[in-house]
Amino acid sequence: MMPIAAMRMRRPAPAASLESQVIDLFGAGTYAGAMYRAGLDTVFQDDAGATPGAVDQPGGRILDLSGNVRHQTQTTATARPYLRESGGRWYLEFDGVDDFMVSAFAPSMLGNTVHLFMAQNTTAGAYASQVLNFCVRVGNTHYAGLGVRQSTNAVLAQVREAAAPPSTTRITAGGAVTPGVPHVLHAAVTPTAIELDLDGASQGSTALSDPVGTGGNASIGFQTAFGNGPLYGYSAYGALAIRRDLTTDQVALVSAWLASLAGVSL
Amino acid sequence: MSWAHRNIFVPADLAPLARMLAAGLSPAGAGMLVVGASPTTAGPATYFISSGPIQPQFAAAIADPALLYEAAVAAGVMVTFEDCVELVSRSDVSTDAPRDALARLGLVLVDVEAHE
Repeated sequence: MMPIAAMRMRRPAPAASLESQVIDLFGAGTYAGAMYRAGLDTVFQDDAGATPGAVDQPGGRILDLSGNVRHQTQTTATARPYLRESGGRWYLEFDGVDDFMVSAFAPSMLGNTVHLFMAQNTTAGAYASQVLNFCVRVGNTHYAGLGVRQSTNAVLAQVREAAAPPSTTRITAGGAVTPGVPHVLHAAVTPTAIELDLDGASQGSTALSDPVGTGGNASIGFQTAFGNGPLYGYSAYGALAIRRDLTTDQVALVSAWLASLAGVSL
Repeated sequence: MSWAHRNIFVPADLAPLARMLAAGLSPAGAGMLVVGASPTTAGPATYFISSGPIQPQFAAAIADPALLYEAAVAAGVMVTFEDCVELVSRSDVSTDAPRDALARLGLVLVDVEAHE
């Protein structure tokens, strides 16, 4: 019979193992981007990171696990999400009114394919407008994001110019998401196209009507509801942005990591 | 540190005063009350809302004009006691979730940045 100690040593630790492999995708900071996971070890109550996170307390700072030091912070107390735990899963709960977190500006994300990933669920059934729950600026005037679209409740990936909404190009997934049910979203953004996956299934690709230009600085952040009307909120289990080409297997790896955080079956 | 959840509606005409007070009382108060609310999506904003965790001493102060004035004086914020009375009496402060507070007052969010 195998000793218990040996059995424990051989028992896989899926989440931790996956996370370690995902971190390796950043090549010790070789590739620009950021990586976040909600948890007691990654969230602080204050923006300075002085007070450790606790369940049902605010999240003022969430650590970037990628090695690129793009920790997201929120200095305004009431704009901080709450760190929640349910069924052993951790998430940041954004209220849909004024909550958001951002990282410091950093070199542009443009230059390769930019991949965005997020595990989230929605907490309301009527959405204020289309919202981008996880965003990254990819050039002088463009940013890309993942979120949920107004009225149809469908997940979306979007690229738009910061100052010119008519240039928005977006892909919307075919089916509406159900409030309270987590999903893993993935978008791949090139200077000329964007494609979207929902829970590992492709939703297609769309050419950008306004190609992304060069230059600029990148900001990465969790956003919340923007737009007139009813309230929208969401929960974020984890998110990742990386500027590099990824293989299909690498995309699957990141998706599996996020799925393990949110309890999503891919 | 323990925090207190508060949902705060301030009448639009008092929002500049409230923002100045919030920022003066604590650095974590800067940036509050920038999201508008109105009976209709057409606006204009009749209230400004902040919802989330605040420090317990501020939770007490925003419910009591005397405490609010005392805190403002201590922080060097230039307001009158009458300002504090008006702010507390005309604002809606509760422990409600924002969705519940909006429904209770018959308000919806307005004049925030639209990404559509």
